[in-house]
Amino acid sequence: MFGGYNKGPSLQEQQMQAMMEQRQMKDFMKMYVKLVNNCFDDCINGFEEKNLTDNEIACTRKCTQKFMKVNERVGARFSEEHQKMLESQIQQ
Amino acid sequence: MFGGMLGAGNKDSQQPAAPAQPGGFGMGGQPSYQNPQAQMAAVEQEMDVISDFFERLKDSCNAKCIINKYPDGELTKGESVCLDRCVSKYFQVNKEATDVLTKLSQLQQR
Repeated sequence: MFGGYNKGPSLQEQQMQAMMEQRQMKDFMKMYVKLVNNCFDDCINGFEEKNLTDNEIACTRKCTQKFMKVNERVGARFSEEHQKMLESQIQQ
Repeated sequence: MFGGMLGAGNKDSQQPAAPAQPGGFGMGGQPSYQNPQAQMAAVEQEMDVISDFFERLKDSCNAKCIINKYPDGELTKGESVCLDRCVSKYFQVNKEATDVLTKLSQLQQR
């Protein structure tokens, strides 16, 4: 489908690849920003001192772990449902 | 590969590069494009829609299911089940909405 037999990747393929990489980076940054914001909101409530308290640090770490687990699980379910949806559309 | 599945989203992110699909909800798979640039723009647009859909789904299900805030870094059993069901329901709502919109647009075309 793409390009010739013994040539390298075609220009279009290269462009597509670059686009995918850019997108992955962007998605990761989006997730990261959300993680920090989410865990800040959930774990940091008082401003009696300048530094994080021990409790806040512990909460932040657990929050980060849990956030990643949610991400993983929702991502897995999402791909399954998405796949199902594509298959049912092809059948129509 | 990304045969126009969340087609309803095309409406709010219209790009001139991607020709409007008949019916507007892209149910019929990927139309063919004359030039690769237009095709890539279409794929990119499609991915924008998917990624937006995913982000919103994640935000919603996170807010609805994660109640037990951080006794440890693990998902509880209940939260895991809730997340699974939440994703499933989100897709079902999407399907219902798409069906209604498709019907409406078919009526309008007559």
